[in-house]
Amino acid sequence: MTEKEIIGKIHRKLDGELSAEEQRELESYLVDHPEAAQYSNEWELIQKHVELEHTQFIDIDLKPEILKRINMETYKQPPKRAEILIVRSFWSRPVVKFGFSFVLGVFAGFVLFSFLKADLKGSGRATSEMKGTFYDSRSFDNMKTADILQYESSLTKAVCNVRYSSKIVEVRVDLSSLYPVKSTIEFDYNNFNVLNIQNLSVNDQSTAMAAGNFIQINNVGDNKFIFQLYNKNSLPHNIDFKIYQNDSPIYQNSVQVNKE
Amino acid sequence: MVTKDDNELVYEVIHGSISSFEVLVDRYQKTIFNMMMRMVGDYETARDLTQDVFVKAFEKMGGFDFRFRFFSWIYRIGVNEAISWNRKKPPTERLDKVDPVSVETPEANGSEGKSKLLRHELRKMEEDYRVLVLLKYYCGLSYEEIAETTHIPVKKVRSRLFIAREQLRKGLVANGFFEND
Repeated sequence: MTEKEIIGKIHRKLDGELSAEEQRELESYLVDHPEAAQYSNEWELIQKHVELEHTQFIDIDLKPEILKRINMETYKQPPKRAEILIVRSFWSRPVVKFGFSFVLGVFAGFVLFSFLKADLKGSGRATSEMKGTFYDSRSFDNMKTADILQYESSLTKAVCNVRYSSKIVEVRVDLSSLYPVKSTIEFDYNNFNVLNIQNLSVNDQSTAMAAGNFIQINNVGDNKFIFQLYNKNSLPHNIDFKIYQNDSPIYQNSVQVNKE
Repeated sequence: MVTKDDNELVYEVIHGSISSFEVLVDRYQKTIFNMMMRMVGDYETARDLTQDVFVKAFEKMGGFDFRFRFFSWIYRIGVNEAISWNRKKPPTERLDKVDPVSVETPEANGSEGKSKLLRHELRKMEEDYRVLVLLKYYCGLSYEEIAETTHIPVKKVRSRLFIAREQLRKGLVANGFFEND
Protein backbone atom coordinates (compact mmCIF):
# COMPACT_ATOMS: atom_id res chain seq x y z
CA MET A 1 0.00 0.00 0.00
CA THR A 2 1.23 3.51 -0.76
CA GLU A 3 1.55 6.16 1.93
CA LYS A 4 -1.40 8.05 0.47
CA GLU A 5 -3.59 4.95 0.60
CA ILE A 6 -2.61 4.29 4.20
CA ILE A 7 -3.37 7.86 5.27
CA GLY A 8 -6.67 7.68 3.42
CA LYS A 9 -7.53 4.42 5.18
CA ILE A 10 -6.62 5.79 8.60
CA HIS A 11 -8.93 8.75 8.03
CA ARG A 12 -11.68 6.50 6.79
CA LYS A 13 -11.23 4.40 9.90
CA LEU A 14 -11.65 7.53 12.05
CA ASP A 15 -14.84 8.30 10.16
CA GLY A 16 -16.08 4.76 10.73
CA GLU A 17 -16.18 4.07 7.00
CA LEU A 18 -13.88 1.04 6.89
CA SER A 19 -15.33 -2.40 6.46
CA ALA A 20 -14.31 -5.12 8.94
CA GLU A 21 -12.05 -6.72 6.35
CA GLU A 22 -10.35 -3.41 5.49
CA GLN A 23 -9.89 -2.70 9.18
CA ARG A 24 -8.20 -6.07 9.72
CA GLU A 25 -5.99 -5.40 6.71
CA LEU A 26 -5.04 -1.97 8.07
CA GLU A 27 -4.30 -3.28 11.55
CA SER A 28 -2.01 -6.00 10.24
CA TYR A 29 -0.22 -3.37 8.12
CA LEU A 30 0.23 -1.10 11.14
CA VAL A 31 1.87 -3.92 13.10
CA ASP A 32 4.66 -4.10 10.51
CA HIS A 33 4.96 -0.34 9.92
CA PRO A 34 5.67 1.63 13.11
CA GLU A 35 5.62 5.04 11.39
CA ALA A 36 2.13 4.49 10.05
CA ALA A 37 1.12 3.09 13.45
CA GLN A 38 2.37 6.28 15.12
CA TYR A 39 0.37 8.40 12.67
CA SER A 40 -2.71 6.34 13.42
CA ASN A 41 -2.15 6.65 17.19
CA GLU A 42 -1.78 10.40 16.88
CA TRP A 43 -5.10 10.62 15.16
CA GLU A 44 -6.78 8.42 17.70
CA LEU A 45 -5.55 10.77 20.40
CA ILE A 46 -6.79 13.82 18.53
CA GLN A 47 -10.12 12.11 17.98
CA LYS A 48 -10.34 11.29 21.69
CA HIS A 49 -9.78 14.91 22.64
CA VAL A 50 -12.24 16.15 20.05
CA GLU A 51 -14.84 13.80 21.45
CA LEU A 52 -13.97 15.05 24.91
CA GLU A 53 -14.82 18.54 23.72
CA HIS A 54 -18.45 17.47 23.46
CA THR A 55 -18.54 16.70 27.14
CA GLN A 56 -17.12 20.14 27.78
CA PHE A 57 -19.82 21.87 25.77
CA ILE A 58 -21.17 24.78 27.71
CA ASP A 59 -24.81 24.26 28.57
CA ILE A 60 -26.74 27.39 27.88
CA ASP A 61 -30.36 28.46 27.80
CA LEU A 62 -30.91 31.41 25.54
CA LYS A 63 -34.59 30.71 24.96
CA PRO A 64 -35.98 33.56 27.12
CA GLU A 65 -33.73 36.12 25.42
CA ILE A 66 -34.54 34.81 21.96
CA LEU A 67 -38.29 34.76 22.61
CA LYS A 68 -38.12 38.27 24.03
CA ARG A 69 -36.66 39.46 20.76
CA ILE A 70 -39.42 37.81 18.77
CA ASN A 71 -42.73 39.53 18.62
CA MET A 72 -45.27 37.05 17.34
CA GLU A 73 -48.01 39.64 16.85
CA THR A 74 -45.95 41.71 14.48
CA TYR A 75 -44.57 38.67 12.77
CA LYS A 76 -45.39 38.67 9.12
CA GLN A 77 -44.72 35.75 6.89
CA PRO A 78 -41.95 36.72 4.57
CA PRO A 79 -42.49 36.08 0.89
CA LYS A 80 -41.93 32.48 -0.14
CA ARG A 81 -38.36 32.40 -1.20
CA ALA A 82 -35.82 29.71 -0.49
CA GLU A 83 -33.27 30.90 2.01
CA ILE A 84 -30.81 28.42 0.69
CA LEU A 85 -30.66 28.52 -3.03
CA ILE A 86 -29.27 25.60 -4.91
CA VAL A 87 -26.06 26.78 -6.40
CA ARG A 88 -25.69 25.04 -9.71
CA SER A 89 -23.16 25.46 -12.37
CA PHE A 90 -24.39 27.42 -15.36
CA TRP A 91 -24.78 24.40 -17.65
CA SER A 92 -26.60 22.25 -15.08
CA ARG A 93 -29.42 24.77 -14.56
CA PRO A 94 -32.69 23.36 -15.92
CA VAL A 95 -33.54 26.56 -17.77
CA VAL A 96 -30.17 26.54 -19.52
CA LYS A 97 -30.41 22.83 -20.32
CA PHE A 98 -33.93 23.08 -21.74
CA GLY A 99 -33.18 26.34 -23.47
CA PHE A 100 -30.09 24.87 -25.06
CA SER A 101 -31.99 21.73 -26.13
CA PHE A 102 -34.72 23.91 -27.62
CA VAL A 103 -32.28 26.07 -29.57
CA LEU A 104 -30.40 22.96 -30.71
CA GLY A 105 -33.69 21.34 -31.79
CA VAL A 106 -34.78 24.42 -33.73
CA PHE A 107 -31.37 24.64 -35.36
CA ALA A 108 -31.38 20.94 -36.27
CA GLY A 109 -34.91 21.29 -37.65
CA PHE A 110 -33.87 24.31 -39.67
CA VAL A 111 -30.85 22.51 -41.09
CA LEU A 112 -32.93 19.44 -41.92
CA PHE A 113 -35.64 21.56 -43.49
CA SER A 114 -33.11 23.53 -45.54
CA PHE A 115 -31.48 20.32 -46.64
CA LEU A 116 -34.75 18.71 -47.71
CA LYS A 117 -35.91 21.86 -49.39
CA ALA A 118 -32.67 22.17 -51.27
CA ASP A 119 -32.80 18.54 -52.22
CA LEU A 120 -36.33 18.69 -53.58
CA LYS A 121 -36.53 22.15 -55.00
CA GLY A 122 -33.22 22.60 -56.68
CA SER A 123 -33.19 19.27 -58.42
CA GLY A 124 -33.21 19.23 -62.16
CA ARG A 125 -33.00 15.46 -62.34
CA ALA A 126 -35.77 13.27 -63.65
CA THR A 127 -38.08 12.07 -60.88
CA SER A 128 -37.09 8.47 -61.56
CA GLU A 129 -33.57 9.32 -60.43
CA MET A 130 -34.71 10.83 -57.19
CA LYS A 131 -34.34 8.89 -53.99
CA GLY A 132 -36.59 8.66 -50.98
CA THR A 133 -40.13 9.64 -50.27
CA PHE A 134 -41.42 12.39 -48.07
CA TYR A 135 -43.91 10.21 -46.25
CA ASP A 136 -41.61 7.67 -44.75
CA SER A 137 -37.98 6.79 -44.83
CA ARG A 138 -38.23 4.09 -47.47
CA SER A 139 -36.51 4.85 -50.72
CA PHE A 140 -38.49 5.10 -53.93
CA ASP A 141 -35.95 2.66 -55.33
CA ASN A 142 -36.91 0.09 -52.75
CA MET A 143 -40.59 0.22 -53.67
CA LYS A 144 -42.07 -2.31 -56.01
CA THR A 145 -42.46 -1.13 -59.59
CA ALA A 146 -46.02 -1.20 -60.89
CA ASP A 147 -45.25 0.14 -64.35
CA ILE A 148 -43.70 3.03 -66.22
CA LEU A 149 -46.13 4.60 -68.70
CA GLN A 150 -44.70 6.67 -71.51
CA TYR A 151 -46.27 8.85 -74.13
CA GLU A 152 -44.53 10.84 -76.77
CA SER A 153 -45.87 12.98 -79.60
CA SER A 154 -44.45 16.01 -81.42
CA LEU A 155 -46.08 18.36 -78.90
CA THR A 156 -46.31 16.34 -75.70
CA LYS A 157 -44.09 13.99 -73.84
CA ALA A 158 -45.04 12.18 -70.60
CA VAL A 159 -43.49 9.62 -68.29
CA CYS A 160 -45.53 8.24 -65.42
CA ASN A 161 -43.57 6.04 -63.05
CA VAL A 162 -45.72 4.21 -60.50
CA ARG A 163 -44.31 2.28 -57.56
CA TYR A 164 -45.86 0.97 -54.40
CA SER A 165 -45.23 -0.45 -50.99
CA SER A 166 -47.74 -2.00 -48.58
CA LYS A 167 -48.77 1.48 -47.39
CA ILE A 168 -47.82 3.94 -50.09
CA VAL A 169 -48.27 4.30 -53.81
CA GLU A 170 -45.95 6.87 -55.30
CA VAL A 171 -46.52 8.31 -58.76
CA ARG A 172 -43.79 10.37 -60.36
CA VAL A 173 -44.87 12.26 -63.41
CA ASP A 174 -42.60 14.08 -65.86
CA LEU A 175 -44.70 16.13 -68.27
CA SER A 176 -43.46 18.18 -71.14
CA SER A 177 -45.81 20.00 -73.52
CA LEU A 178 -45.53 22.98 -75.83
CA TYR A 179 -49.22 23.93 -75.37
CA PRO A 180 -51.53 23.47 -72.38
CA VAL A 181 -52.46 19.88 -71.68
CA LYS A 182 -54.49 18.36 -68.91
CA SER A 183 -53.56 15.10 -67.28
CA THR A 184 -55.41 13.05 -64.68
CA ILE A 185 -54.54 10.19 -62.40
CA GLU A 186 -57.74 8.45 -61.47
CA PHE A 187 -58.34 5.85 -58.77
CA ASP A 188 -61.04 4.45 -56.52
CA TYR A 189 -61.32 6.42 -53.30
CA ASN A 190 -62.18 3.19 -51.44
CA ASN A 191 -58.70 1.95 -52.18
CA PHE A 192 -56.51 5.05 -52.22
CA ASN A 193 -56.25 8.44 -50.54
CA VAL A 194 -54.13 11.35 -51.65
CA LEU A 195 -51.43 11.99 -49.07
CA ASN A 196 -49.11 14.43 -50.76
CA ILE A 197 -48.68 16.44 -53.88
CA GLN A 198 -45.20 17.70 -54.46
CA ASN A 199 -44.76 20.17 -57.29
CA LEU A 200 -41.22 19.50 -58.22
CA SER A 201 -39.67 21.89 -60.65
CA VAL A 202 -43.03 23.24 -61.74
CA ASN A 203 -43.45 26.54 -63.58
CA ASP A 204 -46.02 29.26 -62.83
CA GLN A 205 -48.46 28.26 -65.54
CA SER A 206 -48.75 24.65 -64.34
CA THR A 207 -50.77 23.36 -61.41
CA ALA A 208 -51.67 20.11 -59.75
CA MET A 209 -54.74 19.57 -57.60
CA ALA A 210 -56.32 16.61 -55.86
CA ALA A 211 -59.89 15.50 -55.34
CA GLY A 212 -61.29 12.40 -53.63
CA ASN A 213 -60.70 10.04 -56.52
CA PHE A 214 -58.37 11.83 -58.91
CA ILE A 215 -55.44 14.18 -59.27
CA GLN A 216 -55.49 16.72 -62.06
CA ILE A 217 -52.47 18.37 -63.64
CA ASN A 218 -52.70 21.43 -65.84
CA ASN A 219 -49.39 21.53 -67.64
CA VAL A 220 -47.46 23.87 -69.92
CA GLY A 221 -43.73 23.39 -70.46
CA ASP A 222 -41.46 20.93 -68.67
CA ASN A 223 -42.61 19.95 -65.21
CA LYS A 224 -42.08 17.25 -62.65
CA PHE A 225 -44.56 16.08 -60.04
CA ILE A 226 -44.61 13.52 -57.26
CA PHE A 227 -47.89 12.23 -55.83
CA GLN A 228 -48.30 9.95 -52.90
CA LEU A 229 -51.39 7.91 -52.28
CA TYR A 230 -52.23 6.01 -49.16
CA ASN A 231 -52.55 2.34 -50.06
CA LYS A 232 -55.62 1.44 -48.04
CA ASN A 233 -55.94 -2.30 -48.43
CA SER A 234 -52.93 -3.58 -50.41
CA LEU A 235 -55.21 -5.42 -52.85
CA PRO A 236 -54.67 -5.31 -56.62
CA HIS A 237 -56.26 -2.15 -58.09
CA ASN A 238 -55.86 -0.07 -61.20
CA ILE A 239 -54.76 3.54 -61.39
CA ASP A 240 -55.59 5.32 -64.69
CA PHE A 241 -53.30 7.85 -66.24
CA LYS A 242 -54.87 10.11 -68.90
CA ILE A 243 -53.70 13.04 -70.99
CA TYR A 244 -56.09 15.52 -72.66
CA GLN A 245 -55.44 18.20 -75.19
CA ASN A 246 -58.25 20.75 -75.69
CA ASP A 247 -60.39 18.44 -73.50
CA SER A 248 -59.92 15.57 -75.95
CA PRO A 249 -58.13 12.49 -74.66
CA ILE A 250 -54.84 11.86 -76.43
CA TYR A 251 -53.50 9.15 -74.15
CA GLN A 252 -55.00 6.75 -71.64
CA ASN A 253 -53.51 3.78 -69.84
CA SER A 254 -53.77 1.88 -66.55
CA VAL A 255 -51.29 0.64 -64.02
CA GLN A 256 -52.00 -2.13 -61.60
CA VAL A 257 -50.56 -1.81 -58.12
CA ASN A 258 -50.43 -4.40 -55.34
CA LYS A 259 -49.86 -7.10 -57.89
CA GLU A 260 -48.69 -9.73 -55.47
CA MET B 1 -44.80 11.70 23.65
CA VAL B 2 -44.13 11.64 19.92
CA THR B 3 -41.03 13.55 18.92
CA LYS B 4 -41.74 15.68 15.91
CA ASP B 5 -39.07 16.03 13.29
CA ASP B 6 -37.54 19.41 12.54
CA ASN B 7 -39.39 20.08 9.33
CA GLU B 8 -42.75 19.35 10.97
CA LEU B 9 -41.89 21.89 13.63
CA VAL B 10 -40.84 24.43 11.02
CA TYR B 11 -44.19 23.93 9.29
CA GLU B 12 -45.99 24.60 12.58
CA VAL B 13 -43.89 27.70 13.27
CA ILE B 14 -44.80 29.07 9.85
CA HIS B 15 -48.44 28.52 10.78
CA GLY B 16 -48.07 30.44 14.02
CA SER B 17 -46.89 27.97 16.66
CA ILE B 18 -44.36 29.63 18.94
CA SER B 19 -44.10 26.49 21.09
CA SER B 20 -42.73 24.59 18.09
CA PHE B 21 -40.10 27.28 17.70
CA GLU B 22 -39.17 26.82 21.36
CA VAL B 23 -38.60 23.11 20.68
CA LEU B 24 -36.26 23.98 17.82
CA VAL B 25 -34.36 26.44 20.03
CA ASP B 26 -34.00 23.76 22.71
CA ARG B 27 -32.75 21.30 20.14
CA TYR B 28 -30.05 23.43 18.55
CA GLN B 29 -29.01 26.27 20.86
CA LYS B 30 -26.29 24.30 22.66
CA THR B 31 -24.59 23.07 19.48
CA ILE B 32 -24.83 26.45 17.79
CA PHE B 33 -23.60 28.34 20.83
CA ASN B 34 -20.60 26.02 21.22
CA MET B 35 -19.85 26.22 17.52
CA MET B 36 -19.98 30.02 17.82
CA MET B 37 -17.61 29.85 20.77
CA ARG B 38 -15.09 28.02 18.59
CA MET B 39 -15.68 30.42 15.72
CA VAL B 40 -15.44 33.74 17.59
CA GLY B 41 -13.66 32.71 20.79
CA ASP B 42 -15.63 34.99 23.08
CA TYR B 43 -18.47 33.97 25.40
CA GLU B 44 -20.54 37.15 25.19
CA THR B 45 -20.17 37.45 21.42
CA ALA B 46 -21.10 33.79 20.98
CA ARG B 47 -24.21 34.37 23.13
CA ASP B 48 -25.28 37.38 21.06
CA LEU B 49 -24.59 35.67 17.78
CA THR B 50 -26.53 32.55 18.80
CA GLN B 51 -29.53 34.72 19.62
CA ASP B 52 -29.14 36.49 16.29
CA VAL B 53 -29.08 33.14 14.49
CA PHE B 54 -32.40 32.06 16.00
CA VAL B 55 -34.07 35.44 15.51
CA LYS B 56 -32.92 35.47 11.90
CA ALA B 57 -34.09 31.89 11.42
CA PHE B 58 -37.50 32.81 12.86
CA GLU B 59 -37.85 35.82 10.59
CA LYS B 60 -36.86 33.87 7.51
CA MET B 61 -38.72 30.69 8.30
CA GLY B 62 -41.55 31.59 5.91
CA GLY B 63 -39.09 31.13 3.09
CA PHE B 64 -37.74 27.82 4.36
CA ASP B 65 -37.27 25.34 1.56
CA PHE B 66 -38.59 21.98 2.71
CA ARG B 67 -36.31 20.11 0.34
CA PHE B 68 -33.51 20.83 2.82
CA ARG B 69 -33.10 19.72 6.37
CA PHE B 70 -33.56 22.29 9.11
CA PHE B 71 -30.21 21.66 10.81
CA SER B 72 -28.24 22.32 7.62
CA TRP B 73 -30.22 25.53 7.13
CA ILE B 74 -29.69 26.84 10.66
CA TYR B 75 -26.04 25.78 10.78
CA ARG B 76 -25.52 27.67 7.58
CA ILE B 77 -27.09 30.78 9.09
CA GLY B 78 -24.79 30.26 12.09
CA VAL B 79 -21.68 29.85 9.99
CA ASN B 80 -22.55 32.95 7.93
CA GLU B 81 -23.20 34.99 11.08
CA ALA B 82 -19.86 34.02 12.57
CA ILE B 83 -17.97 34.64 9.36
CA SER B 84 -19.54 38.06 8.81
CA TRP B 85 -18.89 38.98 12.44
CA ASN B 86 -15.24 37.97 12.02
CA ARG B 87 -15.00 40.01 8.83
CA LYS B 88 -16.53 43.11 10.40
CA LYS B 89 -13.93 43.08 13.12
CA PRO B 90 -10.70 45.02 12.60
CA PRO B 91 -8.11 42.70 11.04
CA THR B 92 -5.94 42.76 14.14
CA GLU B 93 -8.72 41.27 16.26
CA ARG B 94 -9.76 38.58 13.84
CA LEU B 95 -8.95 35.15 15.12
CA ASP B 96 -7.76 33.74 11.84
CA LYS B 97 -5.50 36.74 11.30
CA VAL B 98 -3.95 36.72 14.74
CA ASP B 99 -0.24 36.18 14.64
CA PRO B 100 0.20 32.81 16.31
CA VAL B 101 3.40 33.98 17.97
CA SER B 102 1.66 36.83 19.72
CA VAL B 103 -0.90 34.54 21.30
CA GLU B 104 0.34 32.51 24.14
CA THR B 105 0.31 28.84 23.20
CA PRO B 106 -1.12 26.71 25.99
CA GLU B 107 1.06 23.96 27.30
CA ALA B 108 -0.04 20.46 26.45
CA ASN B 109 0.11 19.22 30.01
CA GLY B 110 -2.55 16.73 31.02
CA SER B 111 -5.94 16.27 29.44
CA GLU B 112 -7.08 19.83 30.08
CA GLY B 113 -3.89 21.26 28.61
CA LYS B 114 -4.28 19.12 25.48
CA SER B 115 -7.88 20.24 25.03
CA LYS B 116 -6.83 23.87 25.35
CA LEU B 117 -4.07 23.33 22.80
CA LEU B 118 -6.55 21.66 20.45
CA ARG B 119 -8.90 24.66 20.70
CA HIS B 120 -5.97 27.01 20.24
CA GLU B 121 -4.83 25.22 17.08
CA LEU B 122 -8.36 25.18 15.79
CA ARG B 123 -8.66 28.94 16.22
CA LYS B 124 -5.43 29.40 14.28
CA MET B 125 -6.82 27.58 11.26
CA GLU B 126 -8.07 29.35 8.17
CA GLU B 127 -11.75 30.14 8.48
CA ASP B 128 -12.87 27.93 5.58
CA TYR B 129 -11.13 24.91 7.06
CA ARG B 130 -12.19 25.70 10.61
CA VAL B 131 -15.85 25.75 9.57
CA LEU B 132 -15.54 22.26 8.09
CA VAL B 133 -13.78 20.86 11.15
CA LEU B 134 -16.39 22.38 13.45
CA LEU B 135 -19.27 21.02 11.41
CA LYS B 136 -17.66 17.58 11.31
CA TYR B 137 -16.52 17.21 14.91
CA TYR B 138 -18.59 19.66 16.92
CA CYS B 139 -21.89 19.43 15.08
CA GLY B 140 -21.36 15.75 14.19
CA LEU B 141 -22.35 16.13 10.54
CA SER B 142 -21.50 13.58 7.87
CA TYR B 143 -19.66 14.59 4.72
CA GLU B 144 -22.96 14.73 2.84
CA GLU B 145 -24.55 16.91 5.50
CA ILE B 146 -21.57 19.26 5.50
CA ALA B 147 -21.87 19.50 1.73
CA GLU B 148 -25.56 20.38 2.08
CA THR B 149 -24.80 22.99 4.74
CA THR B 150 -21.89 24.67 3.00
CA HIS B 151 -22.99 24.15 -0.61
CA ILE B 152 -19.65 22.56 -1.39
CA PRO B 153 -19.58 19.27 -3.33
CA VAL B 154 -18.98 16.18 -1.16
CA LYS B 155 -15.70 15.39 -2.92
CA LYS B 156 -14.38 18.85 -2.15
CA VAL B 157 -15.55 18.60 1.46
CA ARG B 158 -13.54 15.38 1.82
CA SER B 159 -10.39 16.84 0.31
CA ARG B 160 -10.63 20.10 2.26
CA LEU B 161 -11.24 18.25 5.50
CA PHE B 162 -8.22 16.12 4.81
CA ILE B 163 -6.08 19.25 4.43
CA ALA B 164 -7.65 20.77 7.54
CA ARG B 165 -6.94 17.66 9.59
CA GLU B 166 -3.33 17.58 8.45
CA GLN B 167 -2.92 21.27 9.35
CA LEU B 168 -4.38 20.55 12.76
CA ARG B 169 -2.16 17.54 13.34
CA LYS B 170 1.00 19.34 12.28
CA GLY B 171 0.18 22.26 14.62
CA LEU B 172 -0.41 19.85 17.46
CA VAL B 173 2.81 17.94 16.76
CA ALA B 174 4.78 21.22 16.73
CA ASN B 175 3.39 22.17 20.14
CA GLY B 176 4.12 18.84 21.81
CA PHE B 177 0.57 17.54 21.88
CA PHE B 178 1.75 13.94 21.58
CA GLU B 179 4.60 14.11 24.01
CA ASN B 180 4.31 12.03 27.19
CA ASP B 181 1.75 9.74 25.51
